[in-house]
Amino acid sequence: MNLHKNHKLSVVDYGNTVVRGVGFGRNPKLHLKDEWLTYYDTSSKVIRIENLVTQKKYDIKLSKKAHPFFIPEVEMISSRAVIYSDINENGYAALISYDLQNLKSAVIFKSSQSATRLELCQNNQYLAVGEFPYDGVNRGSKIQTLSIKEFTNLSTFTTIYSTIDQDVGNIVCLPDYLYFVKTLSFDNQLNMKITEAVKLDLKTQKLETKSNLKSVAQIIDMDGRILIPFRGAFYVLEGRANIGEDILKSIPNKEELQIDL
Amino acid sequence: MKTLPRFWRNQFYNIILGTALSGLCLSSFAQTTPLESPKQVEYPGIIQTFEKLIQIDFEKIQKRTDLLTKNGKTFSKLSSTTNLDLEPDFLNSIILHSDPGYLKMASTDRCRFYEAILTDLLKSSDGKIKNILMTYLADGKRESAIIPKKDFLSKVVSEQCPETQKNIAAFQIKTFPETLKTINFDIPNGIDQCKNIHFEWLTNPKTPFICQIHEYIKEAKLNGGDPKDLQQRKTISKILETKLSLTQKDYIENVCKHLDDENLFCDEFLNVSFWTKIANGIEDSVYAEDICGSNPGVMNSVCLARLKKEQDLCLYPFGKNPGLRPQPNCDQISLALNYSSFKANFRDCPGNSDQMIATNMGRILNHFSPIQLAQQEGTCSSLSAGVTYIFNKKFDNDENWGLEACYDDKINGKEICSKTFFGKYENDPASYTNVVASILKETRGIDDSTKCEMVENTDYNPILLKFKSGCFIVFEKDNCHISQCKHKIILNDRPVDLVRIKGKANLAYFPSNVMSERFSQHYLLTRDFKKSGRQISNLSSVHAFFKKNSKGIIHGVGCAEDLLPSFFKTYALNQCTPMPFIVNGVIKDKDKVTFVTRTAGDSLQAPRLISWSSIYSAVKSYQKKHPIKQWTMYGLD
Repeated sequence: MNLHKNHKLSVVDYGNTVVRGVGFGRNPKLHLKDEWLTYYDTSSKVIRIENLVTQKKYDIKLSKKAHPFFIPEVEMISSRAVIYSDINENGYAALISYDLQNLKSAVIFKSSQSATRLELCQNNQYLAVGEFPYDGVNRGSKIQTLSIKEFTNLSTFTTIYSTIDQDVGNIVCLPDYLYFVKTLSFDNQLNMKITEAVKLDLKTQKLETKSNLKSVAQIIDMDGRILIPFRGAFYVLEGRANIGEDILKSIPNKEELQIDL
Repeated sequence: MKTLPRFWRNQFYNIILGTALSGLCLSSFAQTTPLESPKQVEYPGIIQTFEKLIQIDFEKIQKRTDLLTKNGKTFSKLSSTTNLDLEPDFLNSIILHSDPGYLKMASTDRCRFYEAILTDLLKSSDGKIKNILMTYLADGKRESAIIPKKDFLSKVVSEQCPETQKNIAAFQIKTFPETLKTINFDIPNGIDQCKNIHFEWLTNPKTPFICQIHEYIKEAKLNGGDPKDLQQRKTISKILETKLSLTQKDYIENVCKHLDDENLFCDEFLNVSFWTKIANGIEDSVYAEDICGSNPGVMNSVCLARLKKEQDLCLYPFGKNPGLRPQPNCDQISLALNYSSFKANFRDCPGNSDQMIATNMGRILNHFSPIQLAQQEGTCSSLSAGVTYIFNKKFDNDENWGLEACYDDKINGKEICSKTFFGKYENDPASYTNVVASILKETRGIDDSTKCEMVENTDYNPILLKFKSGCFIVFEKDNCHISQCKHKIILNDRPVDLVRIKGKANLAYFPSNVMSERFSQHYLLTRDFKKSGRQISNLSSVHAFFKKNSKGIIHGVGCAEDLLPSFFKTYALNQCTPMPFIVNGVIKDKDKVTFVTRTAGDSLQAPRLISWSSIYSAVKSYQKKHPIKQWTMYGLD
């Protein structure tokens, strides 16, 4: 049981059986139609980026930090721009943009309060940045969106949600709305929360509670199906609940395959 | 009043403690002719009526005493001590004039009542009781007599309560320090435990004497009592004060002030800021050292005062004890520590641990049998490694400790490996320092007296003379964990690379299959270490467990994504990061319940408050993913 452990990471083409090792790290993620891979090397505190087509690699070294188990959130908004979260020794979170062409980074957002974390998710030409407090800390929560049509102008954030509540977060982005875990009631002294999954409409900014489990902790997006993992079961927020069906998507023909190794 | 003491007879049963008596009550209990009410009776307010009661009582007792003395009804002239009782009027007078707390203590037992009189805790209309008005049976008829306190002790109390004389002897100035050592000043960690402790003090035979000392010191400080012997009493009081520590003084004051109110008694422990307790020396300063940064044993009172006001000071302590950051805020840590009895007097650097099972095991083992903190070398996570390894070796499970240091024995042409853990603990042969020394002895022929020493790379300076000879294991602090450690071995100023590290310190916390159940840490704790594991699967079992075992702990493994969702995010289906945890306190507020919890990633000195819902979700999720669907939460006592 090791929170620092780097796992062996491999890639395989959809429909293929040849596995290629790419490195050791945690939190692997595919970007830009599975053309790019990012993961985090916990031992050297480096975000590793690899183009799976050209196999060109990039590294982004993170600073020394107070939180030994911190893992950054990473999103690629284009083949040139990587956006990732980081925290400094005093616990202040920031969003940094890294240009893969000129290998330069720029801080595009810095939190005004310590002990919060930044979450990223991307969909349909927008990037959502959620700022949520860590457990046991009195901070508010906020969600902002950023248009990524022009990556050069990454400083215009639009706040679509802001509260003094200590929400859990764990955002999942969809084209016109997003889901996250919100704190509906909170006993500050005993640190007890009632948390539910809520849906936030991006246009109207209307908030709708979608669950009644009282202690929702996580929301995941599995190929369009939005699920709440809860005590070993999975509650479907959106998408089909067809667990009886065990049919995989058909293997695309060779013209459709993006990567042919 | 909840219950009446069982053993009380006659008029003792009729006592209603701490309430003002009306004239009607006095007349109903008295066996003498009731006095007439004073002639001038204005419309009574409460105070005015009470004043009249005091006045009536004083006059009554005075008259009674004078009458008995005049008629020669003194105890010394009597031979019989059977069927003795206090005069009802005298008893009423005691109830009217005594502290409710001391009355409650006195009502628990006849002997406590007598001792409360002897120790001047109970008062009558004259103040301290000098003479006791008693009744006795003579020729079938109940008669009254007056007994001086001295005779009361020798003739009545000594016969009926033989332990009293022993206690009197134990609370003299010379014997007091020894007696203090036999008294438990337990600090409660929960409301149920606190109420039990309060009840124990209420019924403890030593309580009247402890409170006598407390009142004696208090009276002398306030210049109370007879002015003639005030100076002498002040001197004795100062001597008595030197025998008590600050903690004991505060504790005794709390006991004696709140004998009649368990809630106020418990408030002093459970609702006082933990930082105040550190400042007063009641709690160990280790809990604030990483935040306030003082030298061990010397705590900065200004910093401690700030912790009560500035919540964020506790979030990112700068001490060398990394763990999950941010920590909870100061109020939450204080509340959690108030309800925690977990032994947390060492640092185990969970942020540096790559084997959380060993971190958790180290904590559990230290709680049940305190570990030797002085005999540790290397990183602070080596303490957990050493403790866990030695525990497994003791119960013949060291063969499952996978970490080994190996070298090639060129003479015999084979590889020789020895079990080891990085660092040094209790000079165990498996300490890496000892294993490397023995390997060098075999391969390089170093002297038996040569010891290897673990040195941080920032402290190692090859230019210095002390590093020119000897064996040094130079390690990188940030890259030295339990299962792996980036290091180099220097012997007499030259690097040595013949030692290879193989394997990892992998242990099973709970069994992952039936065949290997015997080798899991939980099995060793419950069967071999005899810590009777009780399965905890619902809230009722948690309450029952802590009610029965106030010093017990609950240990388990759950998914970190459910335990701490703000720290660990789920990205994929069935993702579960196993996280060992320990629960050792419960805080209840009406129907809300939260638990004092330390995950293996948390600093030992900064527990969190986690709800039952989160803990249950974490264990349940882990169970679903477990190969044999093992339930992984048990109480250990």
